[in-house]
Amino acid sequence: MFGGGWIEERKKKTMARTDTSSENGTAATLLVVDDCADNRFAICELVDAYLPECRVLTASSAQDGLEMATEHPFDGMLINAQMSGMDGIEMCRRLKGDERTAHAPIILLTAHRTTSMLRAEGLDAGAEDFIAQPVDNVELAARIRVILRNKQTADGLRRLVAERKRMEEMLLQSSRLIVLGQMAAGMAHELNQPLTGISVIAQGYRMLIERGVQITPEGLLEDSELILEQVERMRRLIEHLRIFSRDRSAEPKEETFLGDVINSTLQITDAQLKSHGIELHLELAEDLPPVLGDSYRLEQVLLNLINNARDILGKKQEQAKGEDLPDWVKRLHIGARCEGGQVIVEVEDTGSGISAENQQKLFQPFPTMEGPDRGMELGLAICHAIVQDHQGMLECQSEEGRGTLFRIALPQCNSS
Amino acid sequence: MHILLVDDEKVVIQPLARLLEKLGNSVACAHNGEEALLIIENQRVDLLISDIRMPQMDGVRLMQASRNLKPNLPIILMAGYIEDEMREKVAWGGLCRLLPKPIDLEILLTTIKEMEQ
Repeated sequence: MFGGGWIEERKKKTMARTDTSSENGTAATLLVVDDCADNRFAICELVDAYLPECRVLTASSAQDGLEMATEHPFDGMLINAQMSGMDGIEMCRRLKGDERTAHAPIILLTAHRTTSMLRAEGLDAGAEDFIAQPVDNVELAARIRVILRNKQTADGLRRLVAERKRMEEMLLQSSRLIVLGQMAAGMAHELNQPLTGISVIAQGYRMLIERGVQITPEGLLEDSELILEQVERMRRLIEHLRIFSRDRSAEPKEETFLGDVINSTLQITDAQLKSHGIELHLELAEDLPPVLGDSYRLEQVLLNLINNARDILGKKQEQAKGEDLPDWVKRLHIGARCEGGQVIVEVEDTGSGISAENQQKLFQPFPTMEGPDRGMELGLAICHAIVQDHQGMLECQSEEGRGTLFRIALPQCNSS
Repeated sequence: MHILLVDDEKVVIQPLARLLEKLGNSVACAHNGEEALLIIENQRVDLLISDIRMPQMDGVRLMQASRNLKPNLPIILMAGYIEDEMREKVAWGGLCRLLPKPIDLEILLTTIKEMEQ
């Protein structure tokens, strides 16, 4: 097709077309890069004849082509593999290495027969196709249609993935607020206790002074210590809350010990579990290896699972309608161990369990459940997203009426 | 007066106990319901002051259990937040009062005095 006289007679027409090609509803835009004007011309003619829906722009060197490609999104590129200066294979490599141009499919062309070595090199450089002469116009047009079709499919998938990622980010964002809301009750208790203590001390001294009761330095010292202890407790709580409420999704992950995460989570939930009369059973294996993670987001997962357990336990008690349940212990078990290169954390309750039907739906990103399990679903979707972001697994085993076990498995971190 | 103080955290119980002692009372402390019941059973107790939210046996259940041992024992329950449902549970008999946390000592002492009579 790159024959001599054949091109000459149509040159004028094609050049005109190239110049006037503009936004006129064309389905796809192609870039033709060739240092030989005749070749550019021939391809323009071919597109004109066989792919009338396509618009063509041309570049006479790889350098020009690269510039155009970064400025304009192309649906496909036809590049001469063997140009002077930068050749097509190198250009292909650069296009595929640049996020802005990587998604445009490339057909490498040669005007001569080539070795399989060269063709392989071109394909390895990222080209979708490598077409060597001779090839007729009908086939080349069909091959261009193939890369355009594939591009369309890939674009669709990329849009889907981007949309999904965006939804997950939104979900994680809103999740912090949800968890903060869940924490509020526990926080209230956790702040009320030290406030009560400090207030009793201060009121007590005022009262003793008013009544002329003697105050001893020992008592004062002891109470000062108690106040400082409580102030520290509240300071930690506030600091924790402050860090927790920040958006952590972009934070880098670092070596994290899950035992520490569990303990720090229990610090905020302990009072609440107690006030709900839940017996806590903690079983942390010694010398747990670290995982690569963000301790605050992992804490968010645990907090969610613990709050779920608390709710499921409460539900069981509600179902009993005030009657004593013989042999039933309102218990939460939290265990951590190392197994097969993974650190496993289990949160298990003796609550009312989750129906098999709802278990199937547990980790879906948007609530679809019926009945009372609906509320916990969003929280679990968030947990799932966070655990997945840590290259881990979150699974659930539950038996209605017996209890529920959530298991987090995170890959152990070996870099220490 | 012999007062029994029950709370699972020393931060509340310790200063309160010291103050009530300074004001001339004899104070015993318990950290949970079971401990409290043992003391009620075996020692002189004129007044029970307990936190409502405690693990295992909460304040309301402690109140019910102490009624079985000493039906006339006056009780003051302290709670971080007071729900109407809770009020109903402790309302009967007039021998039980509900006080919000953080505790106002003046109110506590007035309540103690009232219950003494």
